[in-house]
Amino acid sequence: MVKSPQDFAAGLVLIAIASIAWISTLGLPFSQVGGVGSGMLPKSTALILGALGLLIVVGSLMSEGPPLERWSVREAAMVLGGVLAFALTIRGTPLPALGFNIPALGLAVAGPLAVLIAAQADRSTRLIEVVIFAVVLTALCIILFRFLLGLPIPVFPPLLGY
Amino acid sequence: MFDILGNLALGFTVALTVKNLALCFAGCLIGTLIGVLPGVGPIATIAMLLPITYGLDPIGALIMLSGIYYGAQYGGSTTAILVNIPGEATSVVTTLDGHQMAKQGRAGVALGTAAIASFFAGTFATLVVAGLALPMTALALKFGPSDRFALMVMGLVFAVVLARGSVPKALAMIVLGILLSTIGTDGETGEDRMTFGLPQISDGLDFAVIAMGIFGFAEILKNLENPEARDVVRGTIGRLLPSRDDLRASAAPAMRGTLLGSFLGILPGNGAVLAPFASYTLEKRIAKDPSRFGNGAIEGVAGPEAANNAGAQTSFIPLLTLGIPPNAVMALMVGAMTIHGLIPGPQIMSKQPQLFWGLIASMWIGNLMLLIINLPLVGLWVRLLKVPYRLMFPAILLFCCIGIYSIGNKPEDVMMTAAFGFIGYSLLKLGFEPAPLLLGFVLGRLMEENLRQAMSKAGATLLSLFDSPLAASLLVFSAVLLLLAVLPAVRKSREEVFQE
Repeated sequence: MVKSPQDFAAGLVLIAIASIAWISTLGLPFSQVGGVGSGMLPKSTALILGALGLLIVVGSLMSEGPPLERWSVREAAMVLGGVLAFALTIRGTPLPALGFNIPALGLAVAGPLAVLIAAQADRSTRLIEVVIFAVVLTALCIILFRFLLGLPIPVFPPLLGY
Repeated sequence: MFDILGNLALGFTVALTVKNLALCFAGCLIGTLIGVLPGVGPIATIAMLLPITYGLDPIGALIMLSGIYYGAQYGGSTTAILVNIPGEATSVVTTLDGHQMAKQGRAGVALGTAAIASFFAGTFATLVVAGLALPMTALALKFGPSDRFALMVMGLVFAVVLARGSVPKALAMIVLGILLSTIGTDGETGEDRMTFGLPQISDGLDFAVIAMGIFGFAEILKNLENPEARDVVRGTIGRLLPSRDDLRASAAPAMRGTLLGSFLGILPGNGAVLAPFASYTLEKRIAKDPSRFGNGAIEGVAGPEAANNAGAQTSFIPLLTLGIPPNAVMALMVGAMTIHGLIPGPQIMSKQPQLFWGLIASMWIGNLMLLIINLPLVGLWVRLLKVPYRLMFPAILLFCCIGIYSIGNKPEDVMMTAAFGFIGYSLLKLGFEPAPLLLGFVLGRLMEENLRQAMSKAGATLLSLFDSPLAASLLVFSAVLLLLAVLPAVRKSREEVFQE
């Protein structure tokens, strides 16, 4: 039986990654005229990765190890969701599949949005505090990155044009 | 000897211009500011701040980045002493006695000792870098592609041996890093490799994206999970300057730590990470009363901090002379240099001596600045550390987003970073230590390049890699080392070192 669930899962994940890599590089030659082909490194690393995965799986059947850890789904969703919201709004995103486009809103919107969504990952977040914090932080970032450092990051295109 | 002095003089004329001094100062200050934040280590700090150096000239950018690096290192020690949270692996040791000293009301002395020991170590290590630069470069110029390939293999094997946790898992991370490095259009044949039809990755994955995802975002998720006792030292910091007795107690440990760190830092494959551990173990072994360690022994701060800083500095040697980054931070430096059109390696010193020696001179200036700016600013760092994490992490997140976006002004990069944040979090949950992945990723590309060159001769087979005696012995040595690491006996003693 599985004695180390964490290692067991880890090994399986490695084997899965190795298989995907192997299958997607099937068409690439291992070697070619004049030496190393485009497939040599990806294929050999995929092979080694798969072998290591197998080794870890076998090891997990033989010796005791840590159990699987609980995932903090809410935290991960909020933090990465905040990042995603930033990516979608900073320069706008066409979403033809949904029939509309997100306009380019710049740092003035993307910044507070990212902060507010991400802050939900922590249950001790206080709404008023974090709203004020998001606005002040974004203002500081705009001054620092756009005006002091001169990075070409859009500030608020709908109103300012940049 | 006169060569070195002449070269250093050249370096100081470059580093002492008002502009470069200002950049060095800004780098140290911002690096410390970000590095002080708990859970933000040097890798995340550099990745985050990389974009602000884009507009600078190459030498200015490198000076600022190395300032950021030292600052982040030093900031990590400050956090270790005041909050008991190590910013990264190398400051774990400082938490042991440094935080105890802080609890006993000697936080100021611990910080002061760390700063002075680091400065001493930094000064010595700068001389080591300057002294070894010429011979190492001369040596590196004799290396063929198969030698370089073998050196990288050895570096990766070292990284596996020195990584914490299980050997197969560390090895898997390196191999996964190499695999990720092959994603994108093959530079030589133009074939698509594992792009799955996504145009965003046809140029390959961006190093900063991976670094920020795995070390920025995944780290935030990890910290959110452990609403740990953020045990910020209450009460006073006390005076900063160590007393005469303190100085006497820490002088010898700092010197030993400096030597250890300077040596280990040169090794390929992140020997620097071992330096503070080794120094702490050594001091504990030779102490008259080992039981003081863990209860606020000043030697346990001075030695490891010196070793840490010396190793951080000498790890520039493999990068600058051989063009092989020994750890993830240096791998980021490769990324930064490439952006400015510089290819790290022996040709830098001969073609751009001003850049090379200017950088080395600025290392010492950076260390001096850290000493000058940090002691008076301790109060500021303490106040920063009292900002609750519920506000700190959204701020870190926003800096990361702006940083990533600014690399290429591409929102897609930000999305990719989120994806790597998820991947990094999954890896942590599965018990993988992700730092070797970054090293594998950067070395993967270099390895493929050198492998291609080595095997481009007619009739070359994999056995041709053993043609050069140096390459053959390095490869055999790596194989033996790897075998030894897998053997249980060695594994046990390795664990002991890390436990202490």
